[in-house]
Amino acid sequence: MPLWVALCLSAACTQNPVLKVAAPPVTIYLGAASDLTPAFTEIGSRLGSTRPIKVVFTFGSSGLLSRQIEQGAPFDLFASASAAFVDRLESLELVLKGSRRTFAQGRLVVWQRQDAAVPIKSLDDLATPAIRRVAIANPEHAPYGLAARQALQSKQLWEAVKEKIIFGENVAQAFQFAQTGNVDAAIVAQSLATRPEGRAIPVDPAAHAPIDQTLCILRRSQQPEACRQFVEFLLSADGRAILQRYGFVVERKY
Amino acid sequence: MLTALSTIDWFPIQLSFQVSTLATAIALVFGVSLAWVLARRRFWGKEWLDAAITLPLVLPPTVLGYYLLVVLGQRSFLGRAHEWFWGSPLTFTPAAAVVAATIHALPLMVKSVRATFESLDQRIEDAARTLGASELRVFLTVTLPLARRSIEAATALAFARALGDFGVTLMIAGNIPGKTQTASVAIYDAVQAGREQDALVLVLIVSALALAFLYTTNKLSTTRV
Repeated sequence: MPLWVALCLSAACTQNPVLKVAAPPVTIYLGAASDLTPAFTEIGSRLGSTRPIKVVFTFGSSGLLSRQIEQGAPFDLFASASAAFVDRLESLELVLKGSRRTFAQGRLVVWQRQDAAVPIKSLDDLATPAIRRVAIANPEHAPYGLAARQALQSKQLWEAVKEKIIFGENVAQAFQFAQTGNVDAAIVAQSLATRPEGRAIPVDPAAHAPIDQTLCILRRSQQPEACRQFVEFLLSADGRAILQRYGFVVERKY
Repeated sequence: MLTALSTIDWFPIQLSFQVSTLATAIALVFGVSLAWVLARRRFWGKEWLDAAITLPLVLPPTVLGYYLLVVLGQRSFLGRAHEWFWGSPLTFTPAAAVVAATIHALPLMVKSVRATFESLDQRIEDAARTLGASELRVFLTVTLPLARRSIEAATALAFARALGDFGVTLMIAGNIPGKTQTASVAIYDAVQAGREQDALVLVLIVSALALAFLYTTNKLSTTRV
């Protein structure tokens, strides 16, 4: 047997099984609402450590991401902070049939720095004159902003608080305003308010429409199987535990 | 700080410099040509053209980005033409980041170079013409050398603006790590996600590189006089 044939054969014999085991990871691109940043980052790295799937995240406002998807942004999965944006993509037939899932509910909190001059104990305290500025996300396009406005309206606080409100472009920015001490308090997603330097007071979820975290696999995806594995892990006991740890409410029916 | 430095992802910085260099090159060629046309030719709608080129400096980035997303998107005529010619969509690629950087770099180029062309003593150009030089030769050997300092300054300004573009880039190129995430977008992303240290490291690196680059170009253009 010529040497090169022997070399090729031995290479083929030794390398093939190795190649099968260490298959290069499949990369999937996930556009997700910014309230999911800490939870999804952890879920992505946990998934990557057990399966050959690499998840690349783009976090942003649900509205911006869905508009980008309409214009052909190369995402495989879209996770929105509100079901409405997924509805819209579904009506445009951009969603893989049967892939839509509501997987958790977001909760609102009033967040304040530990060293805030005027400590508050409830949503009602936002109406006191000592509180001069309150940040919320822009209700026109941010789901948490909409929920914050609904909560203030249903508690008859909107008229008193309206003049004090500073709008953040999205919920993460509204949180930043409070974190940097530029507003006295902010009504934000509980999932973002995990910082030790502040305190978070829960807002009664009955006071606003549910903030349904909804995801879908996009029809243009070349990797629907890897996407399904991500969704499967998200809905598993491990995935739910992570979501719950970041303040999402996960019901059994999901 | 040191640990953050060792885990730093260089991709956004590299992409930013590539995108800005390309955008500046495009703005240089088109900007100088447009400036010459605006300064030396008379035609209907000239001032409207100048105003339209300047518009990207006025419009809010999210608005401009949205228009561009619609005009260049996959469902648009221009988007389809690009896809047909190059075989891939334009939006949400590094090419889209070049578009975003270029439309902001171009007005800075056109405005300052046009003003310089207009303030040049035209009798010098006429003297070259009386000696039989063609229009192209007049431009290359008389006009351009006289305007050189101004063009160099405008190029540095255009590069700086291209490097700093954020809003439109975020809209039409997206924030896709490892694909279209430029340094400005990566810094924004890090701050949004509460990774302040990553953001700070990136800010320091980009600032240092930009300062070094701009200092060097200034130095080179002054010593060559």
